[in-house]
Amino acid sequence: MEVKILVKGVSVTYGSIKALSGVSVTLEEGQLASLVGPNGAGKTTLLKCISNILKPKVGTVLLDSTEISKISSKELAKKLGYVPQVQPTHIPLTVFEVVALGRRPHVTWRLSKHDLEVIWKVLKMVGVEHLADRYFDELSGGERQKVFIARALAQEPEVLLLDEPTNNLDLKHQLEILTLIRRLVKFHNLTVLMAMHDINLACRFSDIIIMLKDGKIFAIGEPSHVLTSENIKRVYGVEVAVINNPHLFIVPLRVSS
Amino acid sequence: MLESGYIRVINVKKIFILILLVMLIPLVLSVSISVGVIHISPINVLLIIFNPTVNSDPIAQAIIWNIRLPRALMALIAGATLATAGSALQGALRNPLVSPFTIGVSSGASFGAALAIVLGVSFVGIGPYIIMANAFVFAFIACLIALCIAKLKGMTSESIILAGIATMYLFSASITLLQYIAQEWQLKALVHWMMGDLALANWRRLTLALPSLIICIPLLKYAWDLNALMMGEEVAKSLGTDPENTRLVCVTLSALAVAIVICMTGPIGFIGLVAPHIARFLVGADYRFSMIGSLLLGSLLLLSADTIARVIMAPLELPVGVVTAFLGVPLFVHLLLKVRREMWR
Repeated sequence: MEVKILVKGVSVTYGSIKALSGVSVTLEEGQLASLVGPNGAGKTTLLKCISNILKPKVGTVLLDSTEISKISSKELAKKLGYVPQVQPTHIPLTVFEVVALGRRPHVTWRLSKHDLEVIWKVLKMVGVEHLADRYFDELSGGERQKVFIARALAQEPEVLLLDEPTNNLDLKHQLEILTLIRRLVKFHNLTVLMAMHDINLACRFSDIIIMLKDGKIFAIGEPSHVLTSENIKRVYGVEVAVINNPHLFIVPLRVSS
Repeated sequence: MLESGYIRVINVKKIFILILLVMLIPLVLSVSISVGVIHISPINVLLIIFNPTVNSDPIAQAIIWNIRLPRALMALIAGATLATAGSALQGALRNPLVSPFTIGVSSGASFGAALAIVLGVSFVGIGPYIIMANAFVFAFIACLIALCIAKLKGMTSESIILAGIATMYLFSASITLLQYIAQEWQLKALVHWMMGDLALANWRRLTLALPSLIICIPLLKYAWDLNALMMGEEVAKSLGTDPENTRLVCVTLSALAVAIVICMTGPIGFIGLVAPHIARFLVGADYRFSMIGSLLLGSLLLLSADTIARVIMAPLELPVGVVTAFLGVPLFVHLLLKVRREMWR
């Protein structure tokens, strides 16, 4: 497997608060990785560093062994899609127009026939093609999230970064979105890094789990190795029971004293 | 029903509306030129404009060529500039209440004019042009002050708007001070200037105003970046745009274009606020269409308003700034109440 993303010793401070300190991560091509950790552990900050929205003063991020700060923002946008956690909901555009924004790195003014084909392809891939002419602010939360992912996919990226893609969604939409992401990784060889709060879903769908605590990497590896009751207790401060039958399943018990 | 052809149908509809607006311009133009204290039939108007050698009434010829045509063209240019700048600013600052005047340009221009009228002070320009030159210089200074203050706070939309409003109040207070010490005739001239009026339009001023329209072209090129900004700062960045740069360029170019226009016409309000909203209502929020729509609608609105201003109390001519407000407010309120969709976040 080829290394797709290499994060080398990245440190970020907001004022006096250390958001990330010396984080190094390797993501291989076609890998689905989940970032877990409590609020404020640095998950979003790491995603922003990899998408070059935040430029770390210390450390580098490499995409296909090129430093991302040396890639033009337009070229980077063709390789890397980012779906932030919070996005505006009142966008006065139709679903089609929102997804069409993903073509921004590829077009100068007009959408070509190829652009339109790509937009329809991703609309179908995500399963929202029937909503294409609906206004975005009429959609439900789950549909919106799918449209946001479709918008990022319309960039035709090789790497997809998602910040809590299942946040505030019902069970069905959570599964649909994660299944979709899993499919993208399998059939389109996409490399995905997503921040997750639900550790059960994270371990069901991910190849590797990256556990963050206080801006540092606490553990990294296969879900069953990382998501142990000992690790979870030390990172989240919560006592859990880990059941492994047949899926790994984590039941939170109490806040550890 | 929804196939790839769908987007083409939608786009054809939008382009059709834009073409309709383009075709309305000569229509309104010929009506505007034909009406007035001396009525000239639209056919005669066209004859005189396109075939000036034909032996026609010399008075009609003089009225059209020296007075009405330059004034109507000035209305088109000024309207187009104000509306395009308004559209770009509303997009760049992600705020539907922003108009070219929110960033301090109009009060800066008025202050410059007041300095010239009341104290006769001017940095550049001679003779009849000192008011114009002063207004232009101070309009741009106002924008620069606003941008410098905003820069201290990181060039966010909010900081630019707040800095613009602060600048506006600063210059308004200065204008009040000048009004207080002004002679009666100076006061009258200043108040008239600040209402916004197209009566002084002539061919020379028209050529001076033309660059404002040229500045609108690079603004149009920011359509995709403004679209991306609708999704928020982070997504806009991840789509390969630079929001801070978009804001800076759009604000500066808009201020420049508007300054060029209003230093000659005085601050004509409302066009820059209302035209972008009507355009969004007609062709949707995609800036590739709505900015061009704003440009055309701004022209049409200002030309119509000026025509009404000339004839409604004839032989007395009203300043167009009064009419744009009377015409614009009901239109705006109608849209506000009638349009179900919230066009902004």
